[in-house]
Amino acid sequence: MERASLAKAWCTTPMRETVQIARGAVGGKGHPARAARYFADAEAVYSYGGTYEMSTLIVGRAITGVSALV
Amino acid sequence: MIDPSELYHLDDMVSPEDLEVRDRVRAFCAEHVLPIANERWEQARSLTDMLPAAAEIGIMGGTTKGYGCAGLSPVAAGLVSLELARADGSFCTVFGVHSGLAMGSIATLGSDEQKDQWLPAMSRAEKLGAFGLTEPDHGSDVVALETRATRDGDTWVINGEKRWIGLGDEADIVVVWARDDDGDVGAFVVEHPEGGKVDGFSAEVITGKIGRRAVLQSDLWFDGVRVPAANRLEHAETFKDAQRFLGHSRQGVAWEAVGHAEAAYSYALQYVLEREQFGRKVASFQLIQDKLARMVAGITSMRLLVLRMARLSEEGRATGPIASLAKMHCAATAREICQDARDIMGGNGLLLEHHVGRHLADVEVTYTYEGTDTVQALIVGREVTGMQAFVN
Repeated sequence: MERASLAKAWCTTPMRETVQIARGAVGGKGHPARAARYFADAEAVYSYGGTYEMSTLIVGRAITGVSALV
Repeated sequence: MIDPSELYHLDDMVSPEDLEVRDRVRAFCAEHVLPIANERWEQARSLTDMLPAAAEIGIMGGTTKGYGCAGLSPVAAGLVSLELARADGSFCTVFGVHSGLAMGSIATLGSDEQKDQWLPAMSRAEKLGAFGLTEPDHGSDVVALETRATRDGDTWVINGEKRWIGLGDEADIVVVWARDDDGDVGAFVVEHPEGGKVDGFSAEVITGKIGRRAVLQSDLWFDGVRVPAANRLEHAETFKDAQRFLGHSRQGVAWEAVGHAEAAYSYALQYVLEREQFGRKVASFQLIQDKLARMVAGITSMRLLVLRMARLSEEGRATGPIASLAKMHCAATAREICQDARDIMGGNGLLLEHHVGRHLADVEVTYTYEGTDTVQALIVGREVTGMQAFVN
């Protein structure tokens, strides 16, 4: 669980930054709608399957041995 | 889980032989480097006196085979850099300059005779080496280097200045990069006589550094320094040869960034497991765990990246852009991890005795040397776009 949580949190954070940069880089030319769609859809990926915060707390519990979930 | 590589069982991806090298270096650092690292750092005193002890554990010369060199695998050589930095960035650079840059350039670009002439004594740390490429006016654009080597009979006459040269005032042998009469860039081995310096050579240690304070870097002046014609490294004929070599040494810098991050993470984790605030272990706070989780994620990703790079190196497929991407990513990630670790430890993180402040300051050097973050990004950018954006 903690390994999947770490991978999920770590991959979705730069994903969010990458689609943001790509959306900005495309600007109003090329395929702005496609870039904007990735930008919007990435937000769902960032939250579902365990939010970013939940994922890091699961990893945090594994590496410290102390739960900070509640 | 103090060791950040534990979560993903990363040691399973490394051979027992390479892990044995790692353990040897870790034990060496615990005995020789860590006990004096903070004091030397604070006093800005060189750690070159630790090189003979490092020579005894069979790591000198890195991946070079023969000539008394260690002949390590790329993974083991990377782990050496990681472990040295994990203990102390200054000693990591002292070792990197001598073993990686000076010995490495002779091993990569020298003829068999030249390797025979210099490498065995250097592998025993009986003679120390330095590497002179950067100049006062040419850092990132070192391709425009101005130091000249003029042929005069059986000798080359070197004139020019170098800056930021690690071990520059201590080394017995300095590999100096200069432009010859045809404008081609070559590497010339300046060898000082026993107990002195060659005529026309002078050095002044740069003071006031805020990072890696226990490796002394110098300004060097060459005023008509004469070296035998045979001291031009045979396979260093153009600047591309320097670039080829630097791509290799850049890989080691990516590994050392991981070492700084692992050290900072481990110190911070140990601290929060012991420290109590508001009646609770600091480790039990959500915002602390968020930082720790991101730190271990960064370390895991860096580890996988440098390991893949080393495997590509084994196959002869590690290109310059591959090294640049690893150096860029690892230095930037390690910088953030060291910052977070320092922050987690509050005021105590500001004290040298807790080590993490030293790593935070030292990782700044990692971020800049062997090609700045910006230069690495431009190299990767050129690779992925097919267009250079260095100059308009």
